Amino acid sequence: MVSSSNTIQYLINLWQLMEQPLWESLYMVFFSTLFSVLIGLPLGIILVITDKGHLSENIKLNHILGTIINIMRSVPFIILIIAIFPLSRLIVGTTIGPTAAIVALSVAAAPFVARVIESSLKEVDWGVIEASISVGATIPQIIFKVMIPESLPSLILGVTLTIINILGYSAMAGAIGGGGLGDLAIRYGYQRYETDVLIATIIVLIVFVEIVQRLGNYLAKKVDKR
Amino acid sequence: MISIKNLSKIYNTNGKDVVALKDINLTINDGEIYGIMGLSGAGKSSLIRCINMLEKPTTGSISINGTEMTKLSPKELREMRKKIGMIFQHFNLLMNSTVYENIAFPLRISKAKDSVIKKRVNELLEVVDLEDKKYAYPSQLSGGQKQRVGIARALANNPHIILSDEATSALDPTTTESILNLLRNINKQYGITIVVITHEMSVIRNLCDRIAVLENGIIIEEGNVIDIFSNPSTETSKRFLKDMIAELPPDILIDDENPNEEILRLSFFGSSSNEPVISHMIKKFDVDVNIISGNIERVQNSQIGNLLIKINGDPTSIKDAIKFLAKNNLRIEVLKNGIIQ
Repeated sequence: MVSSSNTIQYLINLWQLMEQPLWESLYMVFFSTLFSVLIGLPLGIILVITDKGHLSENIKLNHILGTIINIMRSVPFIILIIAIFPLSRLIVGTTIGPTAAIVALSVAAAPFVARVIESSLKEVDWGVIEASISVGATIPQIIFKVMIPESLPSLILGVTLTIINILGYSAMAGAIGGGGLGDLAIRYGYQRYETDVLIATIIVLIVFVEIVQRLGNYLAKKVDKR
Repeated sequence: MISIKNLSKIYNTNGKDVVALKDINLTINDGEIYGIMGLSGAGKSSLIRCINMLEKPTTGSISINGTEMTKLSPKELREMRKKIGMIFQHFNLLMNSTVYENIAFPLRISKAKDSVIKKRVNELLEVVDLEDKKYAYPSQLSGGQKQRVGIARALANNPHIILSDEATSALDPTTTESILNLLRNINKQYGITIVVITHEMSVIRNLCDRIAVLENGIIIEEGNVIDIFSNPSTETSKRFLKDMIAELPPDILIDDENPNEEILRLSFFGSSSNEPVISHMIKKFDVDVNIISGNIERVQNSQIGNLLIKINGDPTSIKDAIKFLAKNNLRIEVLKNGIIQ
């Protein structure tokens, strides 16, 4: 039997081990989501409005952009992150650590975000867009006052999906020096056979995913008046 | 005034040209309610969308109060559209915005001040009788209420023209009537020209002053509603008027060989529907009349009646009776072999 004071001491040790990697993970996920949405949102909008028969039809641009996004999404993340090392060094001055991982994660997730946003915006009924054109709205007005508000519930769920995806990617970034919970799980759980650390990491990740998904569902439902 | 000249619209789908509208010429006067009637696929939707350039005509011209729509810059076109309201079959409201915000939408697009928006939206809520639904969302409204929001939105910028794209096709008859009443009041009160496209008889009958009948992209008939209703000259308009024309019930047999019997279809309109013409005929000529079916429809402020009768008597009396009816402003069709001659 382990005494209760020993149990507490054990948990404190575990927490001390996990605390920094947890913050690193949250830091990576937060900023990677932010930047990937900042890059992906305009791309998603362009994909929609340049499509055939839409606000600013431009089939050529649509095809080129679509192809680039598909290529980016085909490259395995672990390869992409290495390929992006020069870019990371250029932007943040280093290729290791959470900050460097943010560059790779943002670039990797942006095409995914573009597709998620594209499919959300495509849900907006053309009739509503037509009604907006008929009252003399400009294209930016239609995008920001009609398409985005009308697809907001779907956009929120898309961002939720992105956050969870990025969390998964961030574990892989950990494997090549990105830090965070993925890095911890590999070093302690896999390389040192400390299974309890591995399990604790997984529990933390499950809790994180659960919170994000529930929050996303709640917000999406709250803004959905359809 | 809306003046459409030699308008054609050709779609190119998969390398094939499809003619949606062909050489359309129309003049719609200020303050009138003009109906464009036709079956689905006739080109009505394309035609009404050409008026505010939601669809660009392939050739031809559209001028609204002297402004040539096809030659406007995008910016000029947006300004012009603010004066042309449009309402839709499926309402096309912003589902995530309140009734208030939906009506305010055109004003926000025009960058109106908040105080101006508030005043105007409240006015419009009163016009369409939805003051109590101000903060409701469209999903909480009935179809008729949604269309009222659509109408209020179309009125927000004080338009000269309202385009109605099958605005009542998704509504039940009672709701349709109330929406038509609202449109008529708006037309009377503000003098707004209304262009409606529809396949519904009731809309034409209760709302329009003049109509054009569209078939396969061509206008096949145009004129006053009363004239077309009382004397439809094309198959399409006859088909539209089918439920208003007395049809011979299938179980009534006509004996074409019998010279002492004749089946007639009479149409009458205006004042002649108030006179006891049939009764006079029976008294004056020695004939018996059996009424098979009949109806009277009100079109705007006039009555159009249809009557199917069987006359029995000797052949000369029947001939004289028919002449008498013709003199009394009735349109007469004699039925032979069950077919109108």
